[in-house]
Amino acid sequence: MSGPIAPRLRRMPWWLWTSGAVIAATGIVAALGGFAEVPVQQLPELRLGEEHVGNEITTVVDGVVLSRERPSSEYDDEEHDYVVVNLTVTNSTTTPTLFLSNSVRIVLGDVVDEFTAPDGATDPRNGTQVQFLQPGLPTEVAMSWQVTRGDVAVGDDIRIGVFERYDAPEDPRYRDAKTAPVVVAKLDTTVGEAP
Amino acid sequence: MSRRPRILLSVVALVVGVIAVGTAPNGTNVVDPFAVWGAPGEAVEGRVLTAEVLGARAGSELLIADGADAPIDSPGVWLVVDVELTAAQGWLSLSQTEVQIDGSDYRTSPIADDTALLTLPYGSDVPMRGSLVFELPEAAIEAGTARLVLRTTIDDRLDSVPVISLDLRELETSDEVSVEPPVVVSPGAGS
Repeated sequence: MSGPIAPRLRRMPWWLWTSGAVIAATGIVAALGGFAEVPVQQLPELRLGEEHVGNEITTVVDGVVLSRERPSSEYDDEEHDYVVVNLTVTNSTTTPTLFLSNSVRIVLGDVVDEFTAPDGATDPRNGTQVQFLQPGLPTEVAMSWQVTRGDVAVGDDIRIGVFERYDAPEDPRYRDAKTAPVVVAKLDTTVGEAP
Repeated sequence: MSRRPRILLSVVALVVGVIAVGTAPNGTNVVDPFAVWGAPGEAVEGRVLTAEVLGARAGSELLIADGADAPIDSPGVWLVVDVELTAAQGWLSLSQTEVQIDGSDYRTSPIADDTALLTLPYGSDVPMRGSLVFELPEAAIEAGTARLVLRTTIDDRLDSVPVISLDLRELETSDEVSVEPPVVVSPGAGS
């Protein structure tokens, strides 16, 4: 039955076939509701105390407080406050990781943006800096951001982002064979009062 | 040459080739440091560092002799390795020193600051005694054996590094382990 049709189809130019296919595909998508109906993946939301299992670090945000002093310090310079995010973090790899300082960022109105690194990651047991995370050891860390006194108040909304990075051994853009950190979960809460 | 020996030779050549390729150093381990092995009580000599393990202790609380008053709790366990170390050249850092246990690497803890032996500040031929402090997950200490790898730099490719085997079953264990500031070993002092 295809005998008489085939020569006629063969004479049709390629661009006519291509245009027809594009129009047909667009028509089918429009008939199904269009791309507006495609679900967008939402960033997972965490709660205080909830565990986020990352590919390198498992993170629990224990709380956020506004303090007049740096964590584990008693010196009040009277010009600055410190937004302190208390974390329990566990390195799930088999070697020490330095990724801690990039693993969490905060957004606090116009005062602190997501690009601002913390001033420090303090071990609350004796005030030393946590330089790396030992494999498999749950570690409490007080991560702090210095702010001008009066810019942040107890009860202010704060968004905390949990970040990860990925192996990229063959990618020449990443000298340490890891990608740049990307946010993988968020936690919305309010700034609490320091005990 | 008849056909059979030629086939046999080809098979032998293939087997030799497979073994050669399979055992050849790869891009990473071709520049690995050279481990100089030893046991506790032996002076183990690397290119820039000679190390001797004098003993090892473990406990759940760390008491820093001239630091915080209260002992520091750990969710895991503190491993304190008492050592005598001698630099062969200049100032050396020990902050990259590791214990390797059951496939994991654990770095020396900075929590005791200068009370632990984190540097050899006086240069060559000045032996020092002190303690290396490691905070480990509890499961690690139950592994049985460990290797103390005395790295003095982050980049120790093709260098010689003292590696000392530790028998974790023979550790002195107590609730509290203390760490004292490092001291220079006087000439003629015995161990």
